[in-house]
Amino acid sequence: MRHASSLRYVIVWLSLMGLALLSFLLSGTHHGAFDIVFALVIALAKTTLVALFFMELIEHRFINTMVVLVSAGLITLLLSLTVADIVTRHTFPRGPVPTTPQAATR
Amino acid sequence: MHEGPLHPQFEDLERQRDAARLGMWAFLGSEALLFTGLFVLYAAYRTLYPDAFAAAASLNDRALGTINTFILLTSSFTVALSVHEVRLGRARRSALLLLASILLGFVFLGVKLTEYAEHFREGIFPGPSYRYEGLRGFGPRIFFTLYFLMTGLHALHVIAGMGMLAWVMVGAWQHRYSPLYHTPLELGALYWHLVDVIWIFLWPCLYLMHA
Repeated sequence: MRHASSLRYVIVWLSLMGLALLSFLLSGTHHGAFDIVFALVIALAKTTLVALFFMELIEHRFINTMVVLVSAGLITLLLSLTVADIVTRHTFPRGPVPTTPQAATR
Repeated sequence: MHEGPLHPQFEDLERQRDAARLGMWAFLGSEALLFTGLFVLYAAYRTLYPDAFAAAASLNDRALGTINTFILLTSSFTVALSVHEVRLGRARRSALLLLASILLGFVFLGVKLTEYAEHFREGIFPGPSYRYEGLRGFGPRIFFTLYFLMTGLHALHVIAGMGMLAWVMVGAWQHRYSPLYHTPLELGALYWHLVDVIWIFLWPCLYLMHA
C-alpha cells in the first residue's frame, strides 16, 4: 500500500489549527442562532479531516467507512429525534422543572 | 526485519491487519455512541434552558479550553506522524513522537485540573452541591453536572489513551514494529484520534456557545 508523505500530515494539522482559531474568533462575535451552527459546522469539518487523513479512512477498505457512516447515522437519529420531541411536545414543562426537596430548601 | 505474529486463522498479515482495523472501528463506534448519550442530554437540556446554558458556558475559561484544543490537535498530529515514521522503518523516531504525544496528554490533563480547581474554589460543583452565587436555578446546575460528567469521562479516555500510547511506544523503541507489522501502534493511534474527535465537539458545546 502506498502511504502519504509527511507534508500531507503537516497541511492537515495546520488546517485543523486554523479551523480551531476560526471557531474561537467567531465565538467572540455573536451571530445569534448561527453561533451554534458555525461552531458545529467547523467541528464537523475538523472531524472529517481527522477521520480521513489522521485516521486514514481515505486509505482503508470501505467496510471501515461503513462503520463510521452507520455510527454517524445513529448519532444523528438519536440527537435529532430527542430534540424534536422536546421542541414539539407542547405539554413538556418549558419552565423550571420541579426541584428536589433538598434543592427547594436551598 | 520483524514481521509480527501471524495468527493461524489468517492467510496473511494484510488480512489480519484488516480484521484488526475493522474490530477497532467497531469499538470506536461504540465509544462514540457512549458519548452520544451525554451529548443527547446536553442537547435536550440546552433546548429547555438555552439562556441558562449560554450564561453557564461563560463561566468556563474560553482561553484555557482553546489552548487544550490546540494541545490535543497537535498530539493527534504527532501520533499520525509516529505511524508514518514506523512505516518508513524509523521505529525510534516513531517512539519519540509517541513520547511527545503522551507529554501533550499530561499538559492537557494539567490544564483541565487547573480549570476544575478554579471551579471548585468558586463553588461550581456538579449537581445539588452547586453553591456559586453568580448564577442560580436549575439550568446552570444541570450544565455543570453535564460539564463535569462529559469532561471527566473524556479525561478518563485521555488517561487510557496515554496508557495505550505508552505501551506501543515501548514496543516501537524495542523495534517490535516494522513497516510490515505495526498493527498495535496503528490501533493505539486510532484510539487517540477518537479522544481528539470527542474533544472537538466538547469544546464548542462547553466553552464557545456562551452568552
